[in-house]
Amino acid sequence: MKIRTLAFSTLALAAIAGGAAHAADDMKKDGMKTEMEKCYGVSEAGKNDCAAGPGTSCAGTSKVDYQGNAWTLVPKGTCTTIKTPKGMGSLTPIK
Amino acid sequence: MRGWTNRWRRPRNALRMNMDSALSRFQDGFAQALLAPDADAGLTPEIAALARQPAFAVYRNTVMKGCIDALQANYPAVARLVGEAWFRAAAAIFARERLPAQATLLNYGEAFAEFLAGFEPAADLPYLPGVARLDRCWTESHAAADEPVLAAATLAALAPEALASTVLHPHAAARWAWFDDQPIYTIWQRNRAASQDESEIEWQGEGALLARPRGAVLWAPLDAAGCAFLDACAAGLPLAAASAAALEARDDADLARLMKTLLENGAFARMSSTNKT
Repeated sequence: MKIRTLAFSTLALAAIAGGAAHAADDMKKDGMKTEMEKCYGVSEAGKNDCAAGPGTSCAGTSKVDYQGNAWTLVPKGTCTTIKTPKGMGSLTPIK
Repeated sequence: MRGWTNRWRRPRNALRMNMDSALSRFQDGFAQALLAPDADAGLTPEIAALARQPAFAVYRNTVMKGCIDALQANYPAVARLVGEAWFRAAAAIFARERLPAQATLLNYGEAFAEFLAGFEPAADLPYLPGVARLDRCWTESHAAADEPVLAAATLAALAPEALASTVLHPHAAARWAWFDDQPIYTIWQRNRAASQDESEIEWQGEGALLARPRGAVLWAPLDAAGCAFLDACAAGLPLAAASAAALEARDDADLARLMKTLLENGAFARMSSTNKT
């Protein structure tokens, strides 16, 4: 058992060394492509939404109402294209 | 709700403290009123008078809009799956249960995956919580501290006999997750990248690695062996034990390929040795 484990782990470590060497070669070949896209704090619009944008200051007039709890919505996104083993994603209204 | 206004409490002296506690009482009451169904729902007279003004709806709705906008920005794959109207309605329910605990909304919605798992209208979409977890991984990877990435050459230069006792430390921006019985990675990356691919998905377990080796978040598929390997590394186990964990998760694990994937995607920050001699 001990010997088997030892042989096993030697093989495993050899594979790791091989993988590292292969990665090193490939990365040297690619010359470490730098696609630096540095962003401090703020990134895409909305990711750090601290205000000012269409409708921000007046977004809360009474015509926008987030109080409603009546749940009658049906998902309308890409989930309808995903077939799970139990069938298509929700296409029926939820009671 | 708790903690939301705490950052304004900075007692310095007695006078300041009195002012602060009056202010923080007002702010806590104000926050309570934002979610109260009407002005008479247990508010102090002072706050109730404010809440009765028609203009108070501006505060109510602006706070909700800010929370919902942030959730939609933080969970784009979920939003694309269910569509905007459904997402925003679900997000409104979530936000009312858990207002942000920090002023920075970048980190808002940590518990959203958990919320979706228990959200009855989402029961027909069993993969939704998993997709939300990967969206969350993206946010965490994106916002993690900068750290150098372990170069493959550094590891490759190590003497073979030193490998067994070497510990690889996962990078601060590396996140990984394994999903036993659902192809969460495929569903997530199609929707995260706004792919038009609608081909049928093979229903099987999948995992993912997200990391940020060069400034921008990258992702790659990762099998159960890879996730077990990284779990072991994160627990501080040396390579001998980490590779054993990988082989235990999958006895046909391809460790060479796994190592290449992990190093190329910047999964590690540095290495150390458990061998003190």
